[in-house]
Amino acid sequence: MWQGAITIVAIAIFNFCLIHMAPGSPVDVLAGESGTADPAMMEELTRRFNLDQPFHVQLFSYLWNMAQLNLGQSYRDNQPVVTLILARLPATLLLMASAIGAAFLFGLLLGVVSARFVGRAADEGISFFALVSYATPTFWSGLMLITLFSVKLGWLPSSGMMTIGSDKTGLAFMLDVGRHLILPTLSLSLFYMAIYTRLMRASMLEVYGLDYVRSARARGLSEARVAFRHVLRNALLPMVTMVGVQVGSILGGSVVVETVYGWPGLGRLAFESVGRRDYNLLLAILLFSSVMVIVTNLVVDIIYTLLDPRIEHGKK
Amino acid sequence: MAQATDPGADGANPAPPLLRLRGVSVTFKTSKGLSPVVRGLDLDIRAGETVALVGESGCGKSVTALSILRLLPPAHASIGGSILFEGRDLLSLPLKDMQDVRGDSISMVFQEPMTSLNPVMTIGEHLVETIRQHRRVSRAEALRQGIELLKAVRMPDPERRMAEYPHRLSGGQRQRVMIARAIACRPKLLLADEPTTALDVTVQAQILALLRQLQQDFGIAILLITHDLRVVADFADRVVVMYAGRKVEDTVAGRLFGAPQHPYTQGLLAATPRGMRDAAGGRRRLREIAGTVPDPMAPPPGCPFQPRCSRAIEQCGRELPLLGPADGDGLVACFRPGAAP
Repeated sequence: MWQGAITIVAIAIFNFCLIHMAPGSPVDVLAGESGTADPAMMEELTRRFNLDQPFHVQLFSYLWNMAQLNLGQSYRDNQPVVTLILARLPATLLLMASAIGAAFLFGLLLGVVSARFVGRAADEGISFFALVSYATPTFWSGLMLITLFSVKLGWLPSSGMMTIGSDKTGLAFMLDVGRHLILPTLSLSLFYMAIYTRLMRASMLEVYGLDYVRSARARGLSEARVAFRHVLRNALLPMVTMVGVQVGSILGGSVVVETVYGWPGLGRLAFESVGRRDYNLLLAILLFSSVMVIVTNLVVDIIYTLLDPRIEHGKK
Repeated sequence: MAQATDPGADGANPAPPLLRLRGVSVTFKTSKGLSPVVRGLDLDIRAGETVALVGESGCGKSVTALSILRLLPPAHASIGGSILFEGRDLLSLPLKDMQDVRGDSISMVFQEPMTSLNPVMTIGEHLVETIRQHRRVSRAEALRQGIELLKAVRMPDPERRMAEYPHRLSGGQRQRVMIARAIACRPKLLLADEPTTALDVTVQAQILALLRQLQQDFGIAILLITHDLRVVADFADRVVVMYAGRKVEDTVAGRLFGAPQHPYTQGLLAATPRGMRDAAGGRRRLREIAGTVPDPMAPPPGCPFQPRCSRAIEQCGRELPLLGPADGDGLVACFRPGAAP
């Protein structure tokens, strides 16, 4: 737990330094957008945002505010950044959960089938599919999916999270969101699904060669029972590790996918805040992301102890 | 090379043997070609009997045991001949029927107790799974039987052990679990592949004593695979010596130690501390057998042991000696059998 807290503070300091090394300031952008580069107003803004203070003072006031859970105001929208983030968070969490879920589930299934029929047509086909998915860039597969399913076939909506102007409720609302979720989930998860398929296949094959699998067969267990009861659970450990490590990079990938599909999530908000030099907002988004990654890793550790009795709580 | 006569067949016990291997050969498909690891093996095991299969590493003894249960991967190994168990040919059984035999009437204990238990399953789950695979009993009844099995293999504190995972147990305890699991369905035949090799010497003796006790209690026939002749001496009724995939001697255990017929058997005994005492009555230096086991893909002409044999004559390099009745009792495959010169 303490490790997690220290990690978050370290990440916050690092992000702060990194952003302040980037050229440009929010004042330049605001002045540019309003079309008047009045020096007096710019000076006034700089003072208001505390940007005239020395770097270390800015850093400490940032950390002090963070300790009080005050992440500040957006320079641009004049709203607390927490309000902005919380408005976008559910969309991102939904997309990530469905993408990770889909990647894990289909990667697992395809990996199991591949390992079960290793060297045969099913294995070859799955391996080819995984290679293609792995090699396709996310933005391109996103655009192609939109072209196929939205433009040509007209089956699925191409952007947004729900049908605009419709005031659906309950089940109808959930189905509507679900329909909008399919394509972004597909583009975001294809790459990871390919990785999990290959990983699961290799992991299953490794466990298939172990002594206890042979001894399970020697006791008359059917092939299906050997695969699911003896091989699968032991082969899952590397998969769970990998998912834990990749939550961060999936979050990064969601920036592209949210932009392509107009998904109103954190990734797009982060992208926009970079363009506007909205440091407070950007720092807060990065902080939220790091908390999400750290929480996921805690969850992974707990899942680990459930899967493997050799790993016990409190032993590192 | 098939031999119809087998030791003791015409004696007191005319019933057909429990297990009868006839002309069994096992060939591995390797990247360099076909490698015959077992060649035309005949082997009989009667109900309740203990047969030891001995030989150096790579002589085909473990492969023989794995072929009986058809546990060799079919893509890499082909088995020929016939393996009759209670009159049924195991090699022609459909896989489903074979799975009913495995772990029920024939079960197996492996060499490596550390890796032969699934690390994410409790001891109880291992036992319950095996019992319920072959018997239609409730979970509670299977658990009760599991505790009885752990008691039978003298596991201390069996109730608590049921809920523990394999990594909490010592090697000897794990081997006890393996044995408990192997006898769970009261098999008629137990294949024990080097069951004590991976254990400490003191634990080895305990496990062997346990196996003998279980054999007496339940009347299980045991095929004991080992390279350790000391184990054989106080354990087996009959000993089969294998060399380069073939049976070279087959006789009752007492006679093997008293008057070994095949020069290879004599070499094995001379390389064993116990054989040293029996052979000379006094102290003698342990002798190794010169040379190495032949490559199964390129065997020497004639008798496979001939390049390492001190007694070889010109005929040994030309012809393969067939298994024939030895002087007195048993079978031997040698042109010049008999006591060591």
